[in-house]
Amino acid sequence: MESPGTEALRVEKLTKSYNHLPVLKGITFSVYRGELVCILGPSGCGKTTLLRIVSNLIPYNQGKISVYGKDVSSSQAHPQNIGVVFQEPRLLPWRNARNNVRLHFELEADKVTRQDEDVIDNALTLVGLSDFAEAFPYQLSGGMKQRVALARTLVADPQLLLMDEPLTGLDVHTREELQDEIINIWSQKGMGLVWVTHDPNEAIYLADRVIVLSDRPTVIKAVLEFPTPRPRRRNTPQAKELEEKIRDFFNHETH
Amino acid sequence: MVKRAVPVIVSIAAFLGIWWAVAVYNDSVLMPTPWETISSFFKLIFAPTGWQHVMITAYRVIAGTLLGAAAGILLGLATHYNRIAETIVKAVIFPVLQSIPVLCWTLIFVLWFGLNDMTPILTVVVAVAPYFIINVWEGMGELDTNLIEMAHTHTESRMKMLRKIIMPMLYPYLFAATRSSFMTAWKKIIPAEIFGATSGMGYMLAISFEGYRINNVFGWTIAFALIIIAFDYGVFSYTDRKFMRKWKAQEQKL
Repeated sequence: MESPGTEALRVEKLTKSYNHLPVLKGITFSVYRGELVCILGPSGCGKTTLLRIVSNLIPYNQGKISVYGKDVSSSQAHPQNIGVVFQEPRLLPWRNARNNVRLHFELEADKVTRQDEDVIDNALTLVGLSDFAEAFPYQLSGGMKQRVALARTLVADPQLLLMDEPLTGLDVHTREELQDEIINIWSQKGMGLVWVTHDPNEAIYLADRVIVLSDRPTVIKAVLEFPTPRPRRRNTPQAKELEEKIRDFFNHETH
Repeated sequence: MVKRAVPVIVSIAAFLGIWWAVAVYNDSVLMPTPWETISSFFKLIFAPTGWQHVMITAYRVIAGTLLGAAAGILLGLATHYNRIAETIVKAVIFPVLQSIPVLCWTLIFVLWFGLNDMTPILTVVVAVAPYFIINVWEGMGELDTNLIEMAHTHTESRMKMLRKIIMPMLYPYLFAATRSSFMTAWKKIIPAEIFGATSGMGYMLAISFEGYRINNVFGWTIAFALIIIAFDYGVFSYTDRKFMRKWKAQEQKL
């Protein structure tokens, strides 16, 4: 068991450009085990690019990324202990919910063991979908689909969970419900969690720390600490005030 | 349901009526009536060897379609994964298959292999392979890159990616290819069996033709038509509605 002070992710002087067009410019930050860090930035600022680089899905130009002390770029593969939840659920439409979660084991190993099957059932229960295991994606709502995607990521027991605006496109009620559930799961599992969002309200409610990014070429504009204990209250006057400040800041950035 | 069935029944009845009128008006041995054709069809099919010829042709169609599918899928995928294979398939194999009439292949195969199963089966292979090549190309061009990226966060194995993600995404395209192939196979096998076999429905058609047995020519012709209709409206239509729905749900959404 690692102590909570373990560095789950370290990004150092990360630089990325597409065809000489700089996207990320010297990004440096750390995420500790058991910590929830929101990366907040205006649309199109390179948040997703940053997340895809950390997931080793796309290459970068300069810098250093390590996950639990291990250099990510040294291996060509996606690091085993990183889980990714994308903005879209990305479910296989021809598989039911259970088999979509099962996909992780089918892709990872040659055989799915009895034990793996139990892990799948537990994950479906954890995300509240045990009654919908047999349902196909077209029969599920947007929120439910994202729950399946979350379960598919959780069965891998990731020590670093990356979420790329996972609740965008869902209605407010479902969003708040899922925020709380994900917070619950995260506090049970205690992994490092990086949550990318463009919504200051969401970031303020969720995060231990918010890393505020600028417009392109992206640099870190501010790092805000939120030591407020959980469960937190939504939309407190202080949170509203801060949210306004951040929105003003984004408006100045983009106009 | 009833509303849709009525015009269909009326059209078919009209077709049979006109056929019957023409046959009766001409009163010629060259034009059997629908009734004579149908009774000849049943006589042929239920004759002791009749079924055997149907089964032999069906075997050749299925074997040829399966081999053609395997070849077409492999060639189609190869163009995607290998530069040299891409050049060879796109510059040579595909144009050759597309431009040479299937009947010419049949004649060449007769010269090479003589009168046996080989000629009709290979004829079907060259006739159907292009359908699979084209559909695999199209399918590979339409792959959902989001799903592939997602799978990359779970595995590095190219083989697993192909088996679990890419091939299933190609199923609708392979289904379309199989459907068109099957129709084509049943048509192209007739000349292949006329020129290159000593058994099968095409061979029986040739014998009836040479013996000037018009009723039998019509009977075997109807047999081919009924098989094609049974498969296209029955098997393929049913599979399409029953199983391809989940894949279609994906297409509509994206």
